[in-house]
Amino acid sequence: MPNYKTYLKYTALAVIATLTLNSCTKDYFDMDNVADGNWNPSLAAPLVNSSLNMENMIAEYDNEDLVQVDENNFISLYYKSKIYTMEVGELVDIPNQALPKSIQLDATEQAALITNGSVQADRVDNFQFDTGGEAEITSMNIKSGAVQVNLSSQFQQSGTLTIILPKVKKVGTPFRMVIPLNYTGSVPLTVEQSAYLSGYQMEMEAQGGGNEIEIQYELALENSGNTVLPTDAVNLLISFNDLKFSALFGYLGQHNMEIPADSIDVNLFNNSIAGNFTLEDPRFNLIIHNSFGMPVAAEVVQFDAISNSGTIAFNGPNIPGQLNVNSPNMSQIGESVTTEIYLDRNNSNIAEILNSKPHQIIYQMNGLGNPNGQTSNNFATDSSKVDVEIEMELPLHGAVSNLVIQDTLGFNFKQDINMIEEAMFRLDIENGFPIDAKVQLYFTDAYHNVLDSLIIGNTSIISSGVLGSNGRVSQPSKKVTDVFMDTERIANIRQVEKVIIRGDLSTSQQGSTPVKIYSDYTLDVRVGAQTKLNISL
Amino acid sequence: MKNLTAIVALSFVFSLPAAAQELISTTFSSLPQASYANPAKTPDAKWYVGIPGLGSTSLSFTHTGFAYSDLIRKRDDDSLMVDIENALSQMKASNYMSFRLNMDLVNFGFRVGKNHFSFNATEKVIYQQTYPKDLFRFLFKGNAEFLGQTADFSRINVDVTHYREWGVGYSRTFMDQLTFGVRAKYLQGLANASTEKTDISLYTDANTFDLTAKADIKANTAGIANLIDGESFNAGNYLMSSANNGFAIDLGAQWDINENFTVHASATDLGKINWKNQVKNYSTEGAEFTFAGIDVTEFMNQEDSVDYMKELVDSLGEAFDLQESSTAYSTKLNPKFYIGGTWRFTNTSDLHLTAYGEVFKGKMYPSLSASIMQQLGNVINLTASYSIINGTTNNIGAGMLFNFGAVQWYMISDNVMGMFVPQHTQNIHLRTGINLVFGRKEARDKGPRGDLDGDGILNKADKCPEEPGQAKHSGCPDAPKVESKKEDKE
Repeated sequence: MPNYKTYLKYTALAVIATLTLNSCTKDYFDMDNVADGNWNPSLAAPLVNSSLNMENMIAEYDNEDLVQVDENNFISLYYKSKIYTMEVGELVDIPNQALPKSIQLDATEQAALITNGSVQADRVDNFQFDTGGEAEITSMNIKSGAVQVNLSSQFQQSGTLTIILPKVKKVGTPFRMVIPLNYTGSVPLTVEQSAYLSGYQMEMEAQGGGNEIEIQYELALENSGNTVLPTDAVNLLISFNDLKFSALFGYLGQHNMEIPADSIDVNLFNNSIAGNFTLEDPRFNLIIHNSFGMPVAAEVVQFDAISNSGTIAFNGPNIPGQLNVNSPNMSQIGESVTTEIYLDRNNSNIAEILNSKPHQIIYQMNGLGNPNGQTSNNFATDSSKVDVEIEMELPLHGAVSNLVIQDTLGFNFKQDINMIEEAMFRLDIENGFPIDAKVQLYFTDAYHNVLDSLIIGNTSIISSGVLGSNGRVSQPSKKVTDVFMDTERIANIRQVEKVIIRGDLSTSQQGSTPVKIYSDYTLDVRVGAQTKLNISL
Repeated sequence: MKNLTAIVALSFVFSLPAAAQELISTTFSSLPQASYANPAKTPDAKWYVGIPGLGSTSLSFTHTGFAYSDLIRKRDDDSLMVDIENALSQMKASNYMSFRLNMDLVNFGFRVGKNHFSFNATEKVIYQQTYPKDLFRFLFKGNAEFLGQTADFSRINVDVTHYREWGVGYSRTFMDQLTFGVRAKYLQGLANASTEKTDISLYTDANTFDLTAKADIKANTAGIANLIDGESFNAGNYLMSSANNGFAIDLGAQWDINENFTVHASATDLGKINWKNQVKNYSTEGAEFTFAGIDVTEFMNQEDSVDYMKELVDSLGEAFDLQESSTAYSTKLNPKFYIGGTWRFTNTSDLHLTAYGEVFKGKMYPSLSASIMQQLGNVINLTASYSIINGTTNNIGAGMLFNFGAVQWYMISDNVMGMFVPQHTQNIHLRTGINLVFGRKEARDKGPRGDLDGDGILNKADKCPEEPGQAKHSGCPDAPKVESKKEDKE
């Protein structure tokens, strides 16, 4: 027989236990009771993975300069700037011009017209051609332009007026324009007629002031039976419009070519603040390109390098001083010949200038075309010009010793970084350059007061790559640096306004051994971060 | 943050999955639903029918990873704290979660001689998932935990299935001792979302912290494409869909060694569903992406730094671009295996021992249960159990079954602690229902605890159960015939 009392007792106990347990259970699920808890994940991630070569590094702060690489991957920095240009239009610019002419018949010609029924009256003029300047042109090949005749005839007869330019020829044939005069019962008879001159060669006489051309007129009239008055005339205006030449010969006159004081910026050394910099073979070139068939004399008035330490004047052949600029001869028409001044460490003070780490070069030059007057025949083409360029070629073969470069970047990290409990930055650097580098980041306030630095102590973190017997880096050096930042240092980051990046560079053996920089040298930079977060739940 | 914490914590106990053990339902000999664990187990009734929709409803949750209280812990001052470290320490390399809801729409059965026939239509919703400890180590402790190692997420498996089971069962007893049972089940697949392959990993380089992610993924859905595409959902079409067909079989056997000992074994849910309706497959094959940091030179060369980051994100997107297709696929049911024994140590008390295993994605999740059943008169049956379920040891089960005439109401749980102190448990199970059971007396009278011939000697001790006899003759009118023959021979 079952003992129901016992079962009831156990059941009651079970109910009491259940109610007790349930009250505990409710507490567990009341999320208002959850006090702050912490979640502490640790995250690791790569941040930067870059392989920097010299081209990248230069471009970082000077993208206007060229990096030249030869067949051996050897790098030269190449600055080039055109500082002056004079084009042919500034020397010779032929203006539009016109020649008025009036042709009347003399008594004999009037009688012949009446008696013979026709007459031809010939006239000749020498026209003083305006070249727009001092130029005395003997010959001009016309590229484009036109001659235009506007006439008014009082003759009550019909006929023609022929204008001939005997020295303006095309394939040996002089220019000839026949203008019909068709009398229709009323006067004056007006006619306008034009012809293109492209392809013609215009010969000019240099006598009597030069630039003369001959113009011949042939007026032929037929007697129409109408009255011939002594005052009857053909009045005309011959215009030369929009004449452009493809080449001209003669004397182009004396012309001043002033290159006013100006400057070019050299950005290479912008961020360097100390140390020595020596290049084995720096070159500075002044190059003048001239395609005028005209002697030019030039004078370098000023060529100075400006650096933080002061101004140093360039000193070398013709600098300062005068030089004769080469010009093309008659067999070189259309070509440009160059006049170059090369400065190197053997013939100039360029090494001293570069060691001063200049940031600007100031120049001023003068020039004079036909400095000795009309002593030779000149020529010019429509593309003739004078260009003056300066080049600075810096083959990266040299040494630096404790060259300190520095840059300052704005920094604003006001985000809530309280959750970062600690952080470790791993800098994994493979240096393929033959340069030791000490790198440091300074965290400062707005007034450049250093609050912290990335690396405690100025540890050399990047050693030079190992140089082989051929002077090339045979094996990059590798350095892994872990930078730990605790809560306090991380909190300081929030106060940072600026970051100063400073590098102290020295080539092998503290800069005593020159090295060459090749384009296949790389600085492989990898930065990873490992952070431990403390997130309140 | 607290709300988020609550959601995360609760999700791991309640919204996450579990195993639908039937560890103690088999202890009630009159419970028809015991045959779901072993088709050879038939109720001691002539016939039965479950109340439609109420015959049997089973709900279960299991999470092998950790209990709610492992994550949300109480301090001395009764405030709560989130203790991720502790939760992680409880996890195994691979953890299993499941949620299941089984509801009988219709079930009935009847006995004809030594044959028993049954039928059931059962709605089943199953959510199962495995996840690796690495996933949570990664999420909560960060990838720095894996420096120089691969965080392996390949054991992320998800399977959500809704299907309807139409089962026909048959069992027969041979030689009064050995019963074999089989249930053939047509499976009407309604919806599925499951992973077929999830080889996902993330390697963090110990020196450079480079991150390399790899993914080889294949996932399928069926029956819910309209939902995914945002088209209108027609519940009628969904519930009546018959395009996804499957078949499964349950096999079972029971051997009554003698009147006091019985052993049984079964294998259920041996089958699969072929999914053809509204199928969508998503896959990536051999996807790999390594992030080694930002290339400063590239970054600076871009006109807009946003472009660089966009390119980076695009590259990532291209690497892990999910390819979409519509190819039919199949999913297996989780095979389940039971083996156990019963010792009837009094006329009204049984001791049961059951070992259970369920296979999901190739891994067996075992359980072991010991239970005692006490019959109180003809009305009340009580059972209590202790189980080790998926490695958890705090599973105290209980059940009760009442037979009010033909009306049978029962409630069973493999872990009652789960209902009262869910924060401490990782398994919750409840099965309840109402059956109408007829012919129990006749069947019971014929059973080992009955007294078919009414001579006051229970059948299990009665050598002549159909013939009134005397105790001195072991229930026979005279000395047992077999013994007489033996005596004759002697």
